[in-house]
Amino acid sequence: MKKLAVTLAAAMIIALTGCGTDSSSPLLTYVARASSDSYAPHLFILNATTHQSTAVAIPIPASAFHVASNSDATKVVYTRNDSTGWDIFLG
Amino acid sequence: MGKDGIEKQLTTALDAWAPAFSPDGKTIAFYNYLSNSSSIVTMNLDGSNQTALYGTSGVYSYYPQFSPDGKSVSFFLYVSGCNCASQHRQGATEEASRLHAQNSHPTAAVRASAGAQVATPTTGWYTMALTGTTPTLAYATTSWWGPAVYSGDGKKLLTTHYDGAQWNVFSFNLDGTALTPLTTSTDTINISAVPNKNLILFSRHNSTNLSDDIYAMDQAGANQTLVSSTASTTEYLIDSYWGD
Repeated sequence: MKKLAVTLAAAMIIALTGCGTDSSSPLLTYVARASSDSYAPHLFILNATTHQSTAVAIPIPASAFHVASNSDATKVVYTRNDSTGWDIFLG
Repeated sequence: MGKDGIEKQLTTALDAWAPAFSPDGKTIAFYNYLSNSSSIVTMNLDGSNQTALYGTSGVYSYYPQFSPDGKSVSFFLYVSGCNCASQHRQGATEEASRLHAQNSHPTAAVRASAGAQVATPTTGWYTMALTGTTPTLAYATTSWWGPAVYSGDGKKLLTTHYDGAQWNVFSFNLDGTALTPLTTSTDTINISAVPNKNLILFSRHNSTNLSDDIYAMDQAGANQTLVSSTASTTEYLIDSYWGD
């Protein structure tokens, strides 16, 4: 019985989290570059309704071009020049 | 790099550009330069299974983007020799890369893959199923800047198009009909549209604070409002434009 209660509680937490965050919608992300930071790329999540931006804690090389995020902003891919030329990297 | 602090190299000596995630995050599409062309390539998240989706001699393929269901990609085909070099905005870095690619052709397995062929390709926007063999022309144009992204319902493409006065955001149906200007500015650029729920967001250059900011508008281009701005900072919804 105790095991069942724990399982149900975990299921409720997952269900509530999913409902509260509209988990089916991809996050809206953008990349910001500033002259004061030598135009190094930084990833942000934008809430288009509240207009609030949240920085994503993914370090991206300053030399990265064409930075793109996955739908939940947990990974980025980009192009940068390594020792063999321009290649794709996952961060 | 990444949240775990680990950076993983996915391609080696491919002259590879503009990666894009599939909606489920399991596949990455990009383009890579060859001797006199560039190809659309897909691969798994770990860099395995690199497969040339489309590539043919004399044709440059650029900026793949996945459809919302992840089953198709859009991309631009630039037919070498067409008189449109001055109308699109390839970046200096990419031009240098292209010149490099034309003079240096490192061997890579993906280059041995046979891409799909179009008998007589036309410069413009195409769509192609990941399981398909031939891309379909969506809209013929020599004016383009960055990728075309699918609308939220997957029925249209959103593009950046030079309308004779300025770069603006347009939409058109997948069959090329109903080309519609969503922004009509004549004194500032509007680029990089992406769908978000019932809105379309895009980047606009703000000349007053020298900032590229994020705006939102409805599906018809009305009610354009500033969403995010930081002075002297570029805020690009699609970083593919960076360096252009």
